[in-house]
Amino acid sequence: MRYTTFLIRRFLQVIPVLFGLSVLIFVLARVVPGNPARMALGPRASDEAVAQLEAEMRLDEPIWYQYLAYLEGITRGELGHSITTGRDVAADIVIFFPATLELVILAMLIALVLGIPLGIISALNKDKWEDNLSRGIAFIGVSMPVFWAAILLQLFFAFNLGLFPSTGRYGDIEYTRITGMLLLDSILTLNVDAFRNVLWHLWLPAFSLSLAPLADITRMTRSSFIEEYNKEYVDGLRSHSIPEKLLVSKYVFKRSSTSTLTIAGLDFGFLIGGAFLVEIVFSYPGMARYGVNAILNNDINAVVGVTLFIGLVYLLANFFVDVMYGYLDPRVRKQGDAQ
Amino acid sequence: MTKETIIDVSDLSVHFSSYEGRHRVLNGVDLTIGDGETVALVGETGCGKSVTAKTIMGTLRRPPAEVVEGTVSFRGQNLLDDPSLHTEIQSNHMSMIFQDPMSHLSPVFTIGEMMTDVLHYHREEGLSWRRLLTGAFRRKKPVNNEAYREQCIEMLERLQIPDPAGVMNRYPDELSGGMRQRVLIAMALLNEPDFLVADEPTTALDVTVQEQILELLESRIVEEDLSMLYITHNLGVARKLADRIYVMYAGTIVETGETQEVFDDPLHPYSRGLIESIPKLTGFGSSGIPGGIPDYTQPPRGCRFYPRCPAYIEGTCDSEPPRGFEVDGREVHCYLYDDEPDLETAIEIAEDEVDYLDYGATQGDTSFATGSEESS
Amino acid sequence: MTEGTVEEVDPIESDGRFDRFLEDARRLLYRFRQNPMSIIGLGIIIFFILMAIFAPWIAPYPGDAGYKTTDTHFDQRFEAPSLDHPMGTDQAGRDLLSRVIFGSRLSLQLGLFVLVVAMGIGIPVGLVAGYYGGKIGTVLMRTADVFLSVPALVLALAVIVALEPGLRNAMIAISIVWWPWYARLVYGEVLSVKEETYVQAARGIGSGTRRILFREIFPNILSPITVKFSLDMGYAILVGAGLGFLGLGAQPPAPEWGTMTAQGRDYLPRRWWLTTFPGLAIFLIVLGFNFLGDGLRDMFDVEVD
Repeated sequence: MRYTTFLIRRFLQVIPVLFGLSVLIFVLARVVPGNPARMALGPRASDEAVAQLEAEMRLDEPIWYQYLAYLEGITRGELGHSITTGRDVAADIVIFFPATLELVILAMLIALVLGIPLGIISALNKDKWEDNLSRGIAFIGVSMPVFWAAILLQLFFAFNLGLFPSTGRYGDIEYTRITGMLLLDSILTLNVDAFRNVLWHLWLPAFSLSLAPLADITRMTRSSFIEEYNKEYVDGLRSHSIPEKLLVSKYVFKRSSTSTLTIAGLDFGFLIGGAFLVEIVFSYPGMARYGVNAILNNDINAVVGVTLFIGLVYLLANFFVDVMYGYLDPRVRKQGDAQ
Repeated sequence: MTKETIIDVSDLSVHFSSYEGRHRVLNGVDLTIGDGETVALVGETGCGKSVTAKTIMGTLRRPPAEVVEGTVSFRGQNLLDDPSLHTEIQSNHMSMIFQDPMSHLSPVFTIGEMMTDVLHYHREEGLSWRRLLTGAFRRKKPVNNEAYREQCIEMLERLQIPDPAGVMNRYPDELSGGMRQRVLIAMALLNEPDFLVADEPTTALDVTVQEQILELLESRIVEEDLSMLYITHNLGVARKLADRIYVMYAGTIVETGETQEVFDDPLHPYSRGLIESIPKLTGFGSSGIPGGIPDYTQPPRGCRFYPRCPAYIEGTCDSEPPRGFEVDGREVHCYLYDDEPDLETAIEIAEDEVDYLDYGATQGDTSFATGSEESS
Repeated sequence: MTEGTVEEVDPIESDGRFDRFLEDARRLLYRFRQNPMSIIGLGIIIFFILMAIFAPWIAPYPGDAGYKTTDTHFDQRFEAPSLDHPMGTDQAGRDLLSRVIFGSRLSLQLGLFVLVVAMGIGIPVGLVAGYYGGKIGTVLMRTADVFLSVPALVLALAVIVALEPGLRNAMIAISIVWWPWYARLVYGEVLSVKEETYVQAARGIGSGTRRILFREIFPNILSPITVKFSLDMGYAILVGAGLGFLGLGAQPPAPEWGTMTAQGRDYLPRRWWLTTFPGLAIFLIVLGFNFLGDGLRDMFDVEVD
């Protein structure tokens, strides 16, 4: 079972990075000017409360001891109190993260569903007008500031044409919360109205968020497709009379999709970052907006929690990409073996 | 030639365009292959052997390549004018094997997957997207898939591959070079071709494995009654396999004849140089041809070989393209034989005029003509 | 891969090094000019650089675009684009065009600073990690991985919290996020050069590996770094503008494009020009760097992350 060993090995590689990340964020949280306990509790907290937290954070102990205490807290899922919401940061993440995840996944789907065909069409019509058009779109996509694209779309489609709502996540609807991802929840509860309403709210944010990854994916698919298409094995299989359509849709596609996958993994990080901007523009109640508020209010616990959590999600996303990679290319699995 | 002609290449000229300009690669190539005949095409790296093969197979990329003149016909049917006919004939009657089996197999599919695809699809001319999609998403594989599999395993067995069923589930890089080449040959034979092009199929292999592959190939050829065009720069292999031989230089055929005759008494200065440059067991007396293949954007006027030729005739070779002259049933493209002498006279002329040892010394260059491996 | 491209190598004529350099340069230039996009990109970038240099002379109302304090004209608030104010005026009656022109200074400055610092850290780290390898190499590259394990914008945000919002801190934060990319690039290059047979051969006969390595590495990383530099200028400017938009970069009234867009957002949808023009400026300058980077990529024939 080589694939399983590959998976386990790859998963174990996540751990040291995660550990490093916790150190990095701990350092960032501790270099904040002023008393960390006071910062964590906010200006209105009583002196006793501050003193108590100081003891909890072991501020009088050596720094490595403080780190261990902090690490222990994380492993128990304790991320501290948020001064902006007054709730536990972990609880806040549970509330806000599904919204962001939903937005990011939809944006990624849009990028993949449009980007891959555009890239392939581009590659198959290299240097013809189809190619120039899709390359042009790609250039525009990567060059647009996300927030500007979001504002333009909002101006035109929401304010001018009134086709989509300009802000928010859902309108006046009834829904049952299960996962917090409303599209999923409405499917689970067979609530068609809620599904349509949520999707209607999601289109503009998701589309503006998807522009840059869409461009990236188009470009990468195009270039890897062209590269694969010129490989000798394609000539070889063609000489064995495999029809062009099968060559393209099966042989070339599978190989080139590994590059597309890699870039999609990188873009996942971009999507999370971009969500910070898009959620602001559309007043979308997700984790990014929560994070920005936390930063503006110097809500250290919330910032640390959000950053750590996003790091974890991003690492898992890239792990998932590697899993797919290993599935698509048998040689990758073996490299895992050799190490 | 009493045999029926299967492949007839006539006056074929192919040019390539690149930003450096126009490469006049093939320059009036004539080549015929009879039914059941094995013909070798020999020449040094970069002389246009592979381009000839690809043109016959119809896998030449056009552009950048362009057929400026000439015809290729299969049993009298002209192929170059009608791409769809070419594809059809190719898929039903021709196959090709390559120098580097690794790069000619997709690394991310199993041998079985590729082989069954070849069997499954090689007769599907107008495969529609719809059929492809429904095929890809259908859970149950078509019933005859098992039959295809059996057929593939049988073919692998015929090429003496141990554990053929196991090999079907492996990826190309899990096999040795020799095994890969066998798989490639098996794949090429799946469509039961009449004509096989072998483009240096043993060059990338170990010497011991080369021998095995050649023998296998020979036995397949005999058993399935195939015609073959064998491309190589290895004269030993050509001598072993071929009934007739074509010597190619810089996109032109310089000499052709029965293999044994050409080897015994090469007439064209280039063939002589090529054959003399095989290292002899005594260690002495071998020589090379000074210089290299010309720049195809500005090939020499007249005979393309004259700048390297020890016997070149000023005023003739550098201005007039040589025609074929017949010497004892052989065709030689060289003005040394423009009065078409009998064989003995011709051999005398060759021995008098063509002396690479002297010529090489005056040129101060000892580079050998049979250089490195073919790359394209 | 045509058979026609046969290169003639003449060992006797190895003295024509300068000729060969000229020949290479000519070929590169030819490839560069083949791609009209790269010319357009270069044009856009030169346009913005000139704009940044001559801002005080070009801008019709330079006083409206100060970094710390600006003129205000409350009697001319929210004027739509006109001949007098081609991009309209903002909530304090300031000329938007002048502010956009001055904004080019901030963005270019940010991009340059970030990349110089990122390369200043990343290249040595990559060199050391690749050259010494072993434990040092692992530790250094793992550290780089940690920095890459959080999306750039998010990590930059976290760094800014530890500092304090402002343009300078934004630049520092982005640089901190950026260096690992260069470390990775250089590291990979060093490893591949090390594998080359001639370097191993040189080591075999005991000649200075270090010298060979460095002589080989610099020419090898020059082209990917040039390409990456161009593409990253655009990307860094985008991230900087994003920080500005979130209120964590340059602080008002500084005429930073992202900050200006954020402020204009309060007056949407009626005062559309307040968000449209600063954003357009970001878009154009980034487009310029992307065009150029793409042209350079074709020219050098390299692929970078």
